[in-house]
Amino acid sequence: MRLAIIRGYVTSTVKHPSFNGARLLIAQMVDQEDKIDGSPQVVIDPIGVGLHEKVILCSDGSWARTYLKDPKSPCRWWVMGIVDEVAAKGAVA
Amino acid sequence: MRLATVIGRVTLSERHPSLKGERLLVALPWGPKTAETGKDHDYSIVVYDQLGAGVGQTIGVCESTEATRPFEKPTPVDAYCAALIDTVFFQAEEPKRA
Repeated sequence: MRLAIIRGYVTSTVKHPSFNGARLLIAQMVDQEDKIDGSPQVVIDPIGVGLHEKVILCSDGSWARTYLKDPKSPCRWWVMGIVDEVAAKGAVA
Repeated sequence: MRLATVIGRVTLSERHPSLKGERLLVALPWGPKTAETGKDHDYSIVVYDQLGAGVGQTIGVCESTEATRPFEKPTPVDAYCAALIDTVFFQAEEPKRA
């Protein structure tokens, strides 16, 4: 699981059929102090998060395939939860 | 899935027997700043494509073991073009409220 901030979304007409109807958001990976930490990923959003919200991403492709109801889906990253507070090294970020 | 810009094609003369009629793209995955600047891509990767992406197009690339899921038989693929991206909306920072 990784911390990320939702920074946008994409639209796509021609795509793997398993993504039909899924919300595709751009999530920027961040560290515990909200600094950029890795390339942005396009993720599916089963819970409904808003723009610029801090979230936890999960890379469990198995659950993504269950959610999309397609065992052949190449989907890997999905939004697992919305972050309230991150405390690291004795400080709240 | 990572966003990437297609910059070319690859063709093979000898191939792994599980690959037949493959279409391979060379693509530059987007880094943290690419959506804003159009520059600063990551290092190029080769992507297996079944959707027919063209040079210059933005695609969504699924990587690692999930890239092999769409195939009937076990296929050695670690980057799969899962979507042709029409529009990208990106805001690097939350706008300040007045």
